[in-house]
Amino acid sequence: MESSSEIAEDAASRDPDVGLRAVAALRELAERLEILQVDNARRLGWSWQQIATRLGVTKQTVHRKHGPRMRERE
Amino acid sequence: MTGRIEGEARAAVIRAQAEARRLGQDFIGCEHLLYGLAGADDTVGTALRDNGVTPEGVENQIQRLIADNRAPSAGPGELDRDALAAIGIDLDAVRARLDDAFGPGSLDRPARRPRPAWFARRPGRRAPSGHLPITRQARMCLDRAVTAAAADDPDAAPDTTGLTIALLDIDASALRAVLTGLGVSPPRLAAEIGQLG
Repeated sequence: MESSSEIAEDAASRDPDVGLRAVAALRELAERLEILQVDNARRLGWSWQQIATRLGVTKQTVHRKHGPRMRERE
Repeated sequence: MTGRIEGEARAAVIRAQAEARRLGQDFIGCEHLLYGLAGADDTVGTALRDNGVTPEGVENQIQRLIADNRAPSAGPGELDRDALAAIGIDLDAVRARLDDAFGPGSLDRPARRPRPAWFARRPGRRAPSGHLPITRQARMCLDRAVTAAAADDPDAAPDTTGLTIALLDIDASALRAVLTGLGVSPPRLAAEIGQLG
C-alpha cells in the first residue's frame, strides 16, 4: 500500500499544480523559519550584521525586514 | 481596419464585449469572441450550437477558468502539507523539531510578509466601463478575418463564417481550454463551418 506522500510524489513528477504549490509552501515555510531564527539570534545578543552574514543578505535588508517586529515586541 | 466588420459578425463582437463585462473581465479575448459567435442568428451560429458550442456552454467554461485562476491551494499564511510532501518535506517532522527547540506552536505563526506597493495597487476590481481593450490574439483574429474577406473582394467585410474560421485557427490558451472543455476539435469544426457557405 502506498503512503499518502508516495502518492503525492507520483503526482508531483510533472504536474505544475503540485509543483507550484510546493514552491509557494516552501517559501512560506522558509519565511517562518527565518522569523524564528532571527528572533532567537537577537534574543541571544547577535548583531544584525552577524545575522545578515548567515542569511547571505545585507545588514540593511535584515534590519528593514525584522527591525519593526522587534520594536513592536519591546 | 476592424471597423469594417458588419452585420451579424459585428453583432457577435458586440456580444463578446458585453459578455466580458458581465463576467467582470477587463478585456475582450478569443473566448469572448467565441461566445459572441455561438449566439449568432445565422447558419454559422446554428452549426456552432449543433456542435456543442452554445453561449451557455462557453460561458460555463469561461467561469470555470476564472474560478481556477482564483483558487489558491492554501490561503496566504497557510502551509500546504501535501505540496511539501510532494517534494519530500515532512511538515510534521519539521514542526516536531521546531516545537522541541522553540516551544509548541512555533511554526504556526504566519509570516505576515509586507506586500510590495505594486501588489496592493493592482486595479483589478475596478468596474470596467467604455470600450474594453482587446487581447493581441483576438485582434489578430479580427485582422485575419478582414484580410481573408478582402482577398476575394476588396470591398467585402468578413462575415461570421470568416470570423469563426479565423478564430478556430488562433492559438490562444483560454480559447483552447474552452473548446477542449466543450469536447470540440477546432480543425474539424472549422472544416464544417467552411462548407456552409
